[in-house]
Amino acid sequence: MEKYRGKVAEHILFNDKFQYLHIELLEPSKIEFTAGQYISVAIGGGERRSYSIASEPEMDHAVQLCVDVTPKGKGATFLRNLRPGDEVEFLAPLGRFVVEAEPKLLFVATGSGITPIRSMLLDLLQYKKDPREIRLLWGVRLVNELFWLEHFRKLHEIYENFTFMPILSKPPERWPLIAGHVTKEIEALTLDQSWGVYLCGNRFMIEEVSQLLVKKGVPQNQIHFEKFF
Amino acid sequence: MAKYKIKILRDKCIGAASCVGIAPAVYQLDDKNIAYVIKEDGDTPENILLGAQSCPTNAIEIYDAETNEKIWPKD
Repeated sequence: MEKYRGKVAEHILFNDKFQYLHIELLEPSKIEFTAGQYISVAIGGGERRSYSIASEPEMDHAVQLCVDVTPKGKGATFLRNLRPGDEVEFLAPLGRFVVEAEPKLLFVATGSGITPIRSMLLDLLQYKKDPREIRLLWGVRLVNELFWLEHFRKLHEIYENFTFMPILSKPPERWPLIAGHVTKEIEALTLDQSWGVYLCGNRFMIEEVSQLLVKKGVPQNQIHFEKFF
Repeated sequence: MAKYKIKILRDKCIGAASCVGIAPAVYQLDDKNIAYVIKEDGDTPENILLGAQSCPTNAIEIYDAETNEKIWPKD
């Protein structure tokens, strides 16, 4: 773990809920991390908040974040108010939510829980050309809360071993794909002890899905999670 | 002697584990996902404080071991 200084190079509101930040590193100018890890950002007054890295480890000169900025807390307020050129200080890399050696991989995210999973998928597919079967289920409430959609669709087109399913809990009329919660889709999957499952999102989803996975035969030590609060 | 005394407010801890990420030799989560201290001087004083400062609910209080002055959170 090291202390980094970086400068906000890009700040994009994807929609009403999710904000993307690209932080170019100043000092040190390069970072080494494993996909799935997070950073601890100084938000003022001595306080810190943790945010998962969305970018792939091969991008070593910057970190990208995607954060739900709708909560009224200090961390969300700090990030919402950042503008290009602002400096941020953070500790990195942190965390043990990283891809293991299971033969098949299932990623399940809700909301901005997609952030560390994006890093993992880019690393696995684009850089490591990992041949394992990889599935992604991503649940959000509304259609306009989806982002990076084209990005995941392209990965799905390019890499035969990767499938992607967005799931809306409050879909519009005539939504052609799955509606409901991610648990509904998991119930329909055939899983066994060959799967490693990576969960990232709110604690209720993680608890519910973990119980379901165990019932379906996924060993407890192959269920990995990162809780977002 | 440890520089800091660490107090975990168990009812405030939400198991975010940011303290564990920063100073795993000091902080760990128990089987209920609540933080506890395994070794009060298990890391540098800076990392012990950073671990407390990373907590989103201020569930870790840090006191000067000699004077008992509260270092974090600042009231």
